[in-house]
Amino acid sequence: MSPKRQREEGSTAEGDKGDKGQKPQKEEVAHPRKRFYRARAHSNPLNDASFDVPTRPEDYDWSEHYPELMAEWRERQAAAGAAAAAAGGAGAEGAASGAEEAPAVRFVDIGCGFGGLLIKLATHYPDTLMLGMEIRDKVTAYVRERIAALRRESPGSYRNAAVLRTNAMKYLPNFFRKGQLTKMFFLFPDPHFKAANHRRRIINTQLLTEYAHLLAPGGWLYTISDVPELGEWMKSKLDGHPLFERVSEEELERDVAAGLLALSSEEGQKVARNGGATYRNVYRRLAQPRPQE
Amino acid sequence: MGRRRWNRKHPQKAEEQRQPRTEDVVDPPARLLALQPDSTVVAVAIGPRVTLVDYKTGEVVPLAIPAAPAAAPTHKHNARAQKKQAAAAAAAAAASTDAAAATAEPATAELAAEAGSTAAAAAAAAEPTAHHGNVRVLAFSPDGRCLLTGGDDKAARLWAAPAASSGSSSTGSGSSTRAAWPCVASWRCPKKTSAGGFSHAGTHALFADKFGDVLVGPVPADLDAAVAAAAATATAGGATADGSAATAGAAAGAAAAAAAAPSTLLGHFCSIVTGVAAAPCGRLLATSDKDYKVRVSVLPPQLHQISVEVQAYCLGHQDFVSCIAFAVRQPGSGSGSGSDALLVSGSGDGTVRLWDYASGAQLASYVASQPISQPAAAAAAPGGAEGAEDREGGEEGGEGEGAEGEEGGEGDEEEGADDGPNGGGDGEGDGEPTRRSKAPPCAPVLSLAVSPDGSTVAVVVEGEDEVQLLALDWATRSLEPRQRLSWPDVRYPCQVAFGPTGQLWVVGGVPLPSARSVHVGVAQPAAGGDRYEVCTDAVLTPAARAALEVRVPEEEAQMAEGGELFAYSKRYRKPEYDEAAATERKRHRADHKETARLAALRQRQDAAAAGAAAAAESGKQA
Repeated sequence: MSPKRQREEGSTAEGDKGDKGQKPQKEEVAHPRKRFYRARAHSNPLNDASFDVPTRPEDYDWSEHYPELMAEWRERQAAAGAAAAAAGGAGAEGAASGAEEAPAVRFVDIGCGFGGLLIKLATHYPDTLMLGMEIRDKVTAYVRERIAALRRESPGSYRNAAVLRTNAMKYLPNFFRKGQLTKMFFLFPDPHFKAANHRRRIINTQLLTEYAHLLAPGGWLYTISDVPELGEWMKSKLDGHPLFERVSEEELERDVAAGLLALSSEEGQKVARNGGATYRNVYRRLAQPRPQE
Repeated sequence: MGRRRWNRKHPQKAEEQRQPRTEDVVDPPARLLALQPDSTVVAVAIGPRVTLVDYKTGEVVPLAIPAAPAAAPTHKHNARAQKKQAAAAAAAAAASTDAAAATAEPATAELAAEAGSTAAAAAAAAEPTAHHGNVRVLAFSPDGRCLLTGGDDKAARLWAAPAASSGSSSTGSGSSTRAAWPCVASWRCPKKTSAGGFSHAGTHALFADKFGDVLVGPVPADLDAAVAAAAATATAGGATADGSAATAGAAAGAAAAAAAAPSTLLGHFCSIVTGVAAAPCGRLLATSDKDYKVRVSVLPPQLHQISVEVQAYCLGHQDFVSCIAFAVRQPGSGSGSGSDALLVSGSGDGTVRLWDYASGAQLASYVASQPISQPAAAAAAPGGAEGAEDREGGEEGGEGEGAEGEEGGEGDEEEGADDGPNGGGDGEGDGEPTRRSKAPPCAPVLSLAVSPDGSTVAVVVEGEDEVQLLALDWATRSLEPRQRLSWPDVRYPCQVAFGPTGQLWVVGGVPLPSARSVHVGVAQPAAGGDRYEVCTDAVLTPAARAALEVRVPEEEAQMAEGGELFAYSKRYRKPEYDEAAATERKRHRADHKETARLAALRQRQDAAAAGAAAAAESGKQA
């Protein structure tokens, strides 16, 4: 079976992904089938189990997630170093001044689910590294397989997207340096309706301080939800935090990522199917805090 | 399904869940120590009690503990159950303490509305303690006027010295009893308090709870007035405490000082906060948690607002951070350049690290306790090899004064005992990708203190009787071991603190859950040198010693038999689950098969592509 026929079969098979009637021995599906990766929607974020977390952001090796890009960067470093040394200048100076920074993750999708937003963003921003964080094991495995299948299908694209299994509420400062991110996405977070569980909501005042630490000044924080009360809650927490300022609707019209919020993820598509309304809150991280009350 | 239906369906599980958890039972009472700045008062806390003693004269400074207000039911469903429990407790207390205690108890305690308050009052009268649960926070304000205590009863209290006896404790006070320190403020925390301190200026009390929130309570600006007010309500309540109406009055009076809600400053999400320290510049606050992080945050202009900016994270520890402190260099000492203050932190991975807290950079790391398990040694006879290593490590560094021979003998016993709890923890140090510490298990650093002149750091390692003294070199910004000091009569030191005159105080005791013993020791720098020598008898008068210490000989014997050695740090470690059951459960997951199928498919595709390419090449060449 030649590789080219595999890809075609894979794309048609993706169309009826949930179809149980498909005979397994007819053709090999190259994309992960979602029915094997279904998991409950809730995983307790206060648990501590089974995460491999680096001690410091500098210690983490991103080439596991972005192998081609990191390899290319290393080649460019080596070439630049060799060129500077050959040009006769002190090798250290040349390398230091001409060295580009290691490619760093700029977009983070917290709670990326089955990876819909990540995949869409990867094509719109092909030069930006983006990372999805998900706490559920099976769902992370699905996204990993999906990105791998897409990378094989269209060589050269989707190299900038990756997924990580971790508890984003606790371990974000271990992965990212101060001011490293430029966009953070929180799509349809868990509403945690009970008052006693409100502290587990992903947007709360204490965590906003951490997100502000990781976002570069001028970075945007995108949230969307289909639960009105949660939309109100997120809006009030963000309004109450002195380092965040609401982005106007005109700017949102012009922004590519904001347009993707409602329909790109699987959760968003489900909401649209059921005809629900969505509440979008996008805020910008300020350089200086607004005065508090 | 609803909670009540679940309880009916699973009676045994419900019963099990109502029992106290094992971790609450085996938590040994921490011994805490604090020294009043500019004075000779030392505060020692064990379990729920706090004792303040003026160590020069030996007199006890009492704390005026407010009468406990009526215990509010925690949830409306529990009100009935709690009242029944309170009535039962009151009946038992009344039966056991038939002699009238300081506050007269009403003879009949059946009044449902009063059952809570009288039971609490009876309990408080039998044993008035500063807190109802173990005390976890004990700190004096920078000016020495106030004392902050926080405990496992989810409350933080502020006690202030009355105006007359504050300040100098010079020869003027001839009276034998000191005025009691009333409680001027009390705050409710949502979870048990785990760490606390004062802001640099002393205007606010900061305390943190087990969930990770750092809360702020303002110190009343006019302390004298607050002290007078609190004292007045306390005496009024105490004098008229018989009859139901009067107890209601006392409850109301005590409630005036009770249970204010503190404001939240910042939070480490869902991580027990283990240390709160205000930076000497007054702008930053350092907090450490059990998830290996130390966070330096920018304080807001007014402390009741939220802290919105994080200055830096000091990351580098491999296990929970147990204590932090700032080291301030005295002006004029040494010629090193750079900042005048550094942050020191001690952790469960056995290291003490020095940080430049403005940038989060680690400057130095000192290994205070060697990892217990070495792979080669663990393969061989575990008990003998590890014991031998530790003994060597202890002896080669041992230059302390005091009974060195006795120390060596007990050292063997301790190492033998602690192989048990750590041999079990060996197997999962590596392998499973958990956020559990990847560092090999070793004795954690329990407490550290920095001398007022910023030159010495005292480090307590759990399980060792010796306190390690490190020299903090400002020129090179490093930590060097200088001395290992042990006291002949202090076993299992738990916390160290430096006094205002540079004396080193240590408090310790047998770390058993039911232990009551408290050992106190003092050392001071020997004249003309930088070595410390034990001087407990010279500093503590016998009366002070009697007031502070509690010696229970049989506890030492109990400890030798089967005491858990790293009991203090258990609360910071995760409970260990059965790994075999978890892997077994995961083996039959549906997505493993799919992932394996995809991997095999890709391998086949790659092989086919490589084969085709090779065939094409050979075809071209041929």
